Amino acid sequence: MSAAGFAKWALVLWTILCIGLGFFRFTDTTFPLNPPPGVHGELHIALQAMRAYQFWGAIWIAPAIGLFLLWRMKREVDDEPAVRRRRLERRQPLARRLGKTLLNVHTFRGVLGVLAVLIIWQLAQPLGVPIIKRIPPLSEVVMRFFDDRGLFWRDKYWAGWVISLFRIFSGFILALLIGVPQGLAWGLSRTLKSVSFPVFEIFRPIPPLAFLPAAIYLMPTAELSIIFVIFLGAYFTIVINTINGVYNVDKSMERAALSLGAKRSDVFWKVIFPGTLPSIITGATVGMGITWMVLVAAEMIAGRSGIGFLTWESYTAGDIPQVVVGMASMGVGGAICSAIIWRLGTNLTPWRRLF
Amino acid sequence: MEELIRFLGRVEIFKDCGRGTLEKIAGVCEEKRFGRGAIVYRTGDAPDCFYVLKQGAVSHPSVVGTRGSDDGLVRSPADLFGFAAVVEEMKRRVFTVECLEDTTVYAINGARLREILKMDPATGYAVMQRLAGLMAKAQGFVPARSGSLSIRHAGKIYDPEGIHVVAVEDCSFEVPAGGLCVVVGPSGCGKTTLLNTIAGFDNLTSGEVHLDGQLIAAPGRELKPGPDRIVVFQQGALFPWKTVLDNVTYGPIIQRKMKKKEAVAQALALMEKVGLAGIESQFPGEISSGMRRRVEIVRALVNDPKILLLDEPFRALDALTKSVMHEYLLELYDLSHKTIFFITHDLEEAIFLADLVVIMTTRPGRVKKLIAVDLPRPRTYRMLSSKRFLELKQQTIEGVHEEALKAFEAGERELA
Repeated sequence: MSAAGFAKWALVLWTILCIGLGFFRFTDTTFPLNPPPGVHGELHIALQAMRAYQFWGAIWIAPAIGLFLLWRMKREVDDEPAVRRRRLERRQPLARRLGKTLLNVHTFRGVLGVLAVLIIWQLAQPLGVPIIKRIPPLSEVVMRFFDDRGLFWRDKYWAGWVISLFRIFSGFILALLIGVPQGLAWGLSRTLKSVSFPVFEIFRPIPPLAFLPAAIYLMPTAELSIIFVIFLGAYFTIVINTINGVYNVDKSMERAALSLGAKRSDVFWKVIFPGTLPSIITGATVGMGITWMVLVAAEMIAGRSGIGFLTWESYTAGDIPQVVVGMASMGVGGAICSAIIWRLGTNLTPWRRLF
Repeated sequence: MEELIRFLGRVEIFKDCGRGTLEKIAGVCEEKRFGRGAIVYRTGDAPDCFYVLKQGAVSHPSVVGTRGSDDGLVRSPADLFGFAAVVEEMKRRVFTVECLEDTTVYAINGARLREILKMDPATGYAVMQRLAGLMAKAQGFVPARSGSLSIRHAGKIYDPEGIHVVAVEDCSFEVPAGGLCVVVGPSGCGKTTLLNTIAGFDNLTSGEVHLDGQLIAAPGRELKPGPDRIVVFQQGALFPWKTVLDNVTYGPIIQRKMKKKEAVAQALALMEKVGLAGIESQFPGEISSGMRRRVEIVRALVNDPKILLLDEPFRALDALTKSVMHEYLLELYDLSHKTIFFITHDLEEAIFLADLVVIMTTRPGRVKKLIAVDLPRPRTYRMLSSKRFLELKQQTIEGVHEEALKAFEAGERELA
């Protein structure tokens, strides 16, 4: 194996190992099946989780950076020389590429747009803009976030991030693991689809949140019910998109592959799967958005921790600036998750960068 | 030396070369004498030298473009033979060359000639291209050995949910090995059905299709699409998620015929030869549609199929690109001598390309007329206005127009 391949796989394995070890710490109270009794049980676990990930994150970071650099520097060595040369010619130095992605007109416009909204928000109260003037201005929200009783200094806020992200990704990854194979199977087999699709279609219009009471009743813990509802939010979109993706793979591509000597299994892995990938990614992106919507509501109802719960708690305490802090946190969290999915998506489907 | 350079200047193919290049060529020339009946080289030998006749006569079919003579022998001074030495991929001599009288030739090492021509950017490339073209023409004297297609009483009835649609009925014709057969007819006449059966995607309900004497489609026979008959599709079927190079090497790698390294080397060599160098690391979405078509044809040819099936491949291209693509396809055809089965609704295209034009009737599809096109090869765009071409076109139009009218009356809007 080449050095680049080794570095890449070592990085992947190391990351999985660290996430797994952190999760072990996380689960030493058999979370999420059996949390300890008491109102603050969940919070306790969230705090533990946060500390576990702080610990393992600190151990993870240095080797990860090393392996990443090794991979980037050593890769492409085993390619055909002519191809490699042309590819290198097309590639520009890192500094210029970074400059191009960060300092272009689009970023500038984006920053301008965000700034404009922030300014309107700040000035709405002094200027007396109807409705918006009742939102506490930006400065007050920021002050509330950083003052000595502000959420920035509270472990329960950062633990809320960890637990919320944990819920999101558990549900989301579960939805991918179940939804994508199911969508592929339904897309490929008419028989299978005609037997089971009507059932799916009956469940699909039910909003995920409507499942929440049933989930709380059915699931052994509240934690599992939250994850289940988040799973549902992403699952339906992913399945539908995957099925459509399979249908949209050009029939002549399959025939071309067969004509070039591919076997049936080759056709699946080399034609249908890559052909469906763009749709899967679209489904995942939309699904990720839905998980955030579902998360907050689920935490408000079934949870005792997490960002959604903190927002609700602040509201019941009448602390409106803190409500806005919670809302802004969710916005940032959702945007980061979408960016991750988008980034992974473009890396998995490099041919679509053209569009 | 001076005399030799002047002699080379008289060779038609070198006449545009500058003096410097001629001097260099003269530097690698080696004079050789052969007695009557001596063999210069035999079929199957490795080609290393390219020959210019100084005096005498040899048994090599003369080729248009050199002076040649009427009796098909190379006998006038400054004629050329042994083109295989100039084409990089040729591993073997196509002909045996025997001297008919005492003969003197100049032998030029093929590899060194290539180097010299490459160093002359002004004219060297054109000379090389012409030499490769002459090589192709010389090869044209040799009939292709495989890829004879025989369609016998083919019939296809689509019967989904009891609606009885006869797509093709009692359709028979033969395409000889290395022939270029073009099928024209109104839309819905079963052209594509026929192509799908040959490719092995779909079966017949009656009749048989043979390729090289082997039964490939008949009712009840298991279908095996495979790399011996490769399809180039109407809408194009390059894999958009693979780079051009990965697309071209897909066949050899998936069949486990070659290691990746070999396949890449072969593909790059072929792409260089057909003028596609420099785009191999791009995705199909990044190149023009004409380019994509060329890549697709190259992707098929890399697998060395017996027969190439083209389903209206140039339909979506504009007229200018199309004319370029025709010349390109014919060039490839001359080089590879594969049997080609080509579907189109463009009559001019059909006659320009074909050895045999098959006109089909509107549904149910039958063979209405077979027109053998006797225009000489290589074909050029000048032929489009030649008398013979127009005659053939008139014949074809008469055949097709009637069918088009019937199809139109039957509610088909488009002649396709």
